[in-house]
Amino acid sequence: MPENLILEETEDTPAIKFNREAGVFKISGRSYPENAAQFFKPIISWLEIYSANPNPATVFEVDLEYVNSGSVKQVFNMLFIIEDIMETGNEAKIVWCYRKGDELMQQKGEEFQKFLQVRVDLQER
Amino acid sequence: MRAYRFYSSLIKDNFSLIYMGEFDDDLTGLLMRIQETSSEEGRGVKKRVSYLIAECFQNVIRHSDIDHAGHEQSESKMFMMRNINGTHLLASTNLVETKNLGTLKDALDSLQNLSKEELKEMYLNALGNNMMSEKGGGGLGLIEMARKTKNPPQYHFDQVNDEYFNFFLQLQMDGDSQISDVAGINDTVELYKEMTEEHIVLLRKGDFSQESILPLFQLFESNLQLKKEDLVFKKKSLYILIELLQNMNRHAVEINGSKEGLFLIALRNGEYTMETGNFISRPKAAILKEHLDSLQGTDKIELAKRYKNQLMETSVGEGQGAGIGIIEMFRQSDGEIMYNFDEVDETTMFFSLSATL
Repeated sequence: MPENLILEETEDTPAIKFNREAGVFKISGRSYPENAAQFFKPIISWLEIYSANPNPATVFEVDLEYVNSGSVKQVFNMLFIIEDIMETGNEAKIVWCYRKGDELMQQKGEEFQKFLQVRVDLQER
Repeated sequence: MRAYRFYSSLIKDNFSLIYMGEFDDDLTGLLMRIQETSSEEGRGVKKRVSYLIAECFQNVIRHSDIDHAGHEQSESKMFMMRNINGTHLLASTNLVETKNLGTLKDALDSLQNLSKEELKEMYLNALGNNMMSEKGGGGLGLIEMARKTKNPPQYHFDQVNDEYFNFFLQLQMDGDSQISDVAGINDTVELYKEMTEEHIVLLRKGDFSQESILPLFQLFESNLQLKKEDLVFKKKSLYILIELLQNMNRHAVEINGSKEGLFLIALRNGEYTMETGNFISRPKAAILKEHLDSLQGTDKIELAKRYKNQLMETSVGEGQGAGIGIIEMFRQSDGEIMYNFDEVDETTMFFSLSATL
């Protein structure tokens, strides 16, 4: 079973809080690293291992303020993995947060809602 | 498009930053940080330049006179820093009232042709007297500038109207290698005019690694957001700014170990134009041009479709986003995207890309 994955937010990378026991799976803050694929690689690996043997119910929260297009693609890859959890017979859903008036993040959330089978709840904050 | 023109005027610069946006004290720290991430020079040099940035910048804030309509003409203020082969140039421009011209000119003239010792004596005198100006700082700033740069400050006055002059001040701190043709104050006046004509509020030339572009986001966020309340605009413009700068970093040809480029922001009638320019290899230019041509004029629905395809594509371009950034630029900028490729030599082209919001 993988350890928890906790990363502090930096100027250009988000905070990651993955805590299996507490049932917290959250990515928040700013995400515009130069090489998004490289930054997200270990995070995605962690999720892949988790998704093979997940909690009975997983709520995955995305609360990003600023992003670059490369990060959006990687977040999308993460959400695909969350979607796979349903195939193991367990529950999963995504909570997509955006600030009131943040059309960009709202648009991204709505798109992902369309592209994915897993439930995506949009939450205005 | 104008990136190549400005790049050519600043061709010898390792680094340049010209700022004509809002001026406040918070900006000083940010400018120091931009300067410090811009070169590999020793701490001593960086510290001295930082000190001068603070003096020069605060000089603009402290001594700008307000025009008769009662509002400051922020568009006429400028702060410039350039590093030309190790020689640092700092310059500022602000309005001064005609009646203050004489005192200022006398103070500046008194600094010409002084020895190190004479300058020191003058400094000590000024510390005691505080004679120059009621605005605080009183001449000390100018004397310190002359002492720290080991060169007398250069200046120029340009009449705006009966009551006001534009005051140009330029400091030069020589590097290890003597350069004969460093830009003089007249070049700076010229540059200022070009910037004003083109409504440019920020221009930055030099290396565009991630480390050196991060302070630019901050600058954009805190000081160039003239429409502060408009969150939609703020989010979109920063998103496009990030894409533009990272796109440049991704495609630029390395010259002497750095990815050289130029970035500018113009503000005209409430519309922002962000433009980047950099050298690019011919094969890359051909691929990019094809990609851009295929997106230009494409409607929103088709763009959304292409975006989805790129997003779903997991195998290709894991590393670098494979064109998704450019699709996003077209999608998110409601204005226009422009691009151009200038011929440089057999292997290289100069690629300009701009988005208007």
